[in-house]
Amino acid sequence: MAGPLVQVQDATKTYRLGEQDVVALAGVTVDVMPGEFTVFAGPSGSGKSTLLNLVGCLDRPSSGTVRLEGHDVETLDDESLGAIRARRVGFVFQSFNLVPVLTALENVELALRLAGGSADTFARAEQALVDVGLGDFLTRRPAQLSGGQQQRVAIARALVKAPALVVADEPTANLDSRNGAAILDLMRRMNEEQHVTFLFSTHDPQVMERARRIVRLTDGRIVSDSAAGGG
Amino acid sequence: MRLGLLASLAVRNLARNVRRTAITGVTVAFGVAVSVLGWGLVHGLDENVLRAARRAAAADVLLRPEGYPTDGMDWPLALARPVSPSMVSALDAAGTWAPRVVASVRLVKGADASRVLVTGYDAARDPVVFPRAGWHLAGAWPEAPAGVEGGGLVVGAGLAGTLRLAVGDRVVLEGRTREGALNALPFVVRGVVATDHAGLDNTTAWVRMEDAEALLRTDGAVTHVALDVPGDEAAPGSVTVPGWNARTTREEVAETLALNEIRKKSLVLFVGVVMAIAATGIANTVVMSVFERVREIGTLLSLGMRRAEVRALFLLEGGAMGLAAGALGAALGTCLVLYFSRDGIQLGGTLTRVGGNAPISAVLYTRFTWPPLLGSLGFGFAASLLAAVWPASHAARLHPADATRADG
Repeated sequence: MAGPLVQVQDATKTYRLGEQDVVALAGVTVDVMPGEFTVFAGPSGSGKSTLLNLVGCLDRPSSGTVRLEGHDVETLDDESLGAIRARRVGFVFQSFNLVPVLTALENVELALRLAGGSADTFARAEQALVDVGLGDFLTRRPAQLSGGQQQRVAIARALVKAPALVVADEPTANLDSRNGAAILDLMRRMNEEQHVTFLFSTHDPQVMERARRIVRLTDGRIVSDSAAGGG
Repeated sequence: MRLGLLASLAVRNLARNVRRTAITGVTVAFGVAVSVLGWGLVHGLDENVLRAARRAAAADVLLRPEGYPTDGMDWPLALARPVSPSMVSALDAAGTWAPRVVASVRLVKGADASRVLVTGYDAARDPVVFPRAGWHLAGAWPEAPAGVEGGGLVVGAGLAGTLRLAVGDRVVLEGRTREGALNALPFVVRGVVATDHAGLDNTTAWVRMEDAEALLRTDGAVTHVALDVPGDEAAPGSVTVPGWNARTTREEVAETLALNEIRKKSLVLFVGVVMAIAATGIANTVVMSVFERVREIGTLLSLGMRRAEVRALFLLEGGAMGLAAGALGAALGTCLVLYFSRDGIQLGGTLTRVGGNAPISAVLYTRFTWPPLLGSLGFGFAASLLAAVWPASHAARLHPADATRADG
């Protein structure tokens, strides 16, 4: 069996807020195996998004270690972290975060090009959009798409470069329940078909229903880590 | 660095907020156009002075009797001398020429009087050397000596304004003859002229040579000979006539040209201020763009765009705007410079009133040269690029985790 995709060992994260230090993570240890569909759950301020940022190489821990595919996140410079994000990590954000001046196809292509994409970026981007059910919306700009459609584009953008890991920060928070469910089913299908690891931060019950593992955090600490019914 | 990708994004981002981009673009275009026009005026300043002197006072070479002052303050008639036959031959060989007698006299109109420079001109030769193209004449040049039907004098427009002279007025010129005796002659004002030379227009009354001789008793002697040589400009020392001091037009106006250097510096300062305002506009646009797109910048960073590429993206946006607007402004400025180099900017009475006796044209001509055009274009581009440096650096320093969650 392959080793963990993500290894977090006694990771802490402290922010300076004015005169005060705010502890967002207080010694978290967790491993994520390839192919998992895992949720970091908890109330606001519990540290779930901070943990997701560390795992997604968007941030470094204040202490402890975070390892993604064997790379120590805390020791890498910005350039190296950017390169890992470009090739190995896909992101799905709460507010979709598409580039508004680009079409759906161009948004997906952009991820491929930033990952050092090959000559067939157009075909791969088109296929990725077809896979998420947006084959007829290739030339639409984000403003011409519904919230659910925009999040599908974001999923296509995250998956098109065949990443090792997709981190999804509250991906259903700006969607109605029907669209949220459809998006989650889509991600679950991608997880099963493409064996891409998905990590979520959320407190949306819909997400937790579909998760195979739920890691609960409170005040920057893991309070439970258990298999879930989504499997 | 993926420049193609960045350039494509930059151009699209500029089209995102068309109104803001347009306003900033117009500011830059205006700045560059003013710069090009300003430089056209700067280069035209010398041209104006030379043109004024050449077309109204000196032609290409101005000859004075040896010892005759050149400071424009004193006009000693005693130093006037005749144009000898050998000199005529030499001048004829050199080009076309016209003799003049200049003396300081009093012009009296009723109870008013003022000291003026009377210029006696050769009615046949003078219009050949000074074609009077572009001069504005109300009335006519006298066709006969004073006292004869059609005779009289012509006064400069500035002088006419000061003394409230109009065509048809009767005046008297009072002056000392070459021997020092007092003499006076009545004249009818036949014309009021605005030449290319505001200084002459303020001080001069033109009379036919025979009238000048009658008033000043010069017996064929003259104080000035203006020589027009073939080609663009006479070289210093190219004309020598024994007993006469010859100076080229450029030598004649050397002091005014030196003064122009100060004017040029003022214009450069003005152009610099305009460009600084344009650069502020660019900085404002790029700063606004950065603050509005924090989340997008975070997204680009999270997708793996390098910080240097984010910086380059915003520099490209500023630079592209500067280049495009600069090109527009340069084209507009060039059109204006070319237009005014041909038709001039009419200053009307303004310069005539303030110009004193300086050889300044009442029509400002611009002069097109390539360096100011390329310089202004480059300056517009560089200013735009510089204005974008801080916001671009700010964008590149954003923390991706925070930026992806920002409102903008």
